[in-house]
This record gives sequence, structure tokens and C-alpha cells, in this order.
Amino acid sequence: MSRLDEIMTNVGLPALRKQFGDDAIYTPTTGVPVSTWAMLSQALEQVGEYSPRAEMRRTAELPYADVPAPEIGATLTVHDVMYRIDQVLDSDGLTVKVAIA
Amino acid sequence: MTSDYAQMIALRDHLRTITVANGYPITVDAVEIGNAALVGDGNTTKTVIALVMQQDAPDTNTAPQSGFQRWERTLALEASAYGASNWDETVSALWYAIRRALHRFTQFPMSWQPAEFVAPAMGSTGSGVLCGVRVSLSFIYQLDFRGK
Repeated sequence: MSRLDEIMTNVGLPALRKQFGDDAIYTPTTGVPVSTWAMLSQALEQVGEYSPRAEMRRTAELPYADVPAPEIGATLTVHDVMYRIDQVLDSDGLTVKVAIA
Repeated sequence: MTSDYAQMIALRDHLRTITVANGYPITVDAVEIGNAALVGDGNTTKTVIALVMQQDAPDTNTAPQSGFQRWERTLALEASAYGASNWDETVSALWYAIRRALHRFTQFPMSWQPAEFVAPAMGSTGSGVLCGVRVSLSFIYQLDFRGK
């Protein structure tokens, strides 16, 4: 583990969880649910070529240590709202970013 | 009202008859000329159609100096619907309904260009829920300044 990874694991992620994290339950399509935390974010995007409509798109970042390989179709429950994981967008060994709907 | 806009209104009003109650496989919640963002009202579960003007091309066989000229109006029909799952099935039903409605529209002839299907977007900002179909339609209208 690099020094940077060590700092992020011991200081950075706990700080991010405290400031931006929400308790979450990751439920794979088969298997045991995992109690974890997540940082949710959302962006309003325009779709349509000639006549734009707006839609909300959401992502969640999960700690890699808890959910190293999120499944497509698994669910993430945050504040009693259940989201479906549509795609894994990024993974840097510390967090995993997924698209949720 | 100019004849071109009157024809677009006639088309809009006809597309508004796309409902399950009228025998279509899907109900279109709103049809408007212009901006689908207004039609959708920010609610992504609505099925909407927007008719957007794209181009006017003059008929070279009629002279504007005579006060009478034919024009070909091209407009985009852009329809979108909630397609978070099975979006292809949703779009198929929507496109079927649109074609059926256009076949039933007899007020003036139109020509169609190939249709494009649009899947819900997926990208760095997350997954989208809106899917759609868009097609360009053309119709002829007459600009008549004679006696005016």
C-alpha cells in the first residue's frame, strides 16, 4: 500500500464518510446484503437533439473495501430509497463509482 | 395564421389522439410544437412528442415574384418516453403508435425520413431514463401573396 493509499484509507475515507457519506445497504442479486456507506451525487442533464428534456442522473461512490465489485442489477438502499445499480463507472482501489437509477 | 403553421397545428392535434383508449398501444401525454422540455414539464415519466421546425425549401418551379410559391417544410418529430427498463420495447410501442397515427392522418401528404432510436443515456454522470425516437417529416405548403 502506498503512503497516499494509507492516508486515504485511514484519514481521507473516514473524513469523506463523515462529511458526505450516508449509511447504505448493498444487496447483490444473490447473496448476503452488505451494510456499508455511500456518497450520492446527482446531475440534471439535457437529453434530446431538437427538443431537450431534462432528466436527473445519479451516481454513488462506495468504499472499495466493502463492495469491491458491485453487480449490475444489484440494489443500493439509502434512506429507505432503493436504487438499481446500472453500471460501474470507475474504481480507484479506494472507492467504486456506480450509476444508479 | 399562415398555412404552414396551420398544417403543423393540424398534425399536432392529430397526434394528440394517440391514446390507449383510441386503440394505440401507448398513450402520449402531450404533443406540442416547439420545446419538449416544456411539454415534459420536468416529469420524466411522461410520454411526449415535440414537433420542431427544421427547414423550408422553395419549390424552384414556382416563382416568388408571381406572388405564389410552394415550399417544402421539414420538421423533426421527436418523441421521448420513460425507458428505465426495457426501453426498446417502450420505443417500439411508441414508434408503432406514431406510424399508425401518421398513416391515419389524411389532411395533407407527408414524406418521412428514416427514424432514429435513442437509448437512455449512460455516462460519467449516471444512467438516464428517457428513451425516444426521432424522424424528419416533410410537407408542401403554398405561400400565396396574390392580391395582398
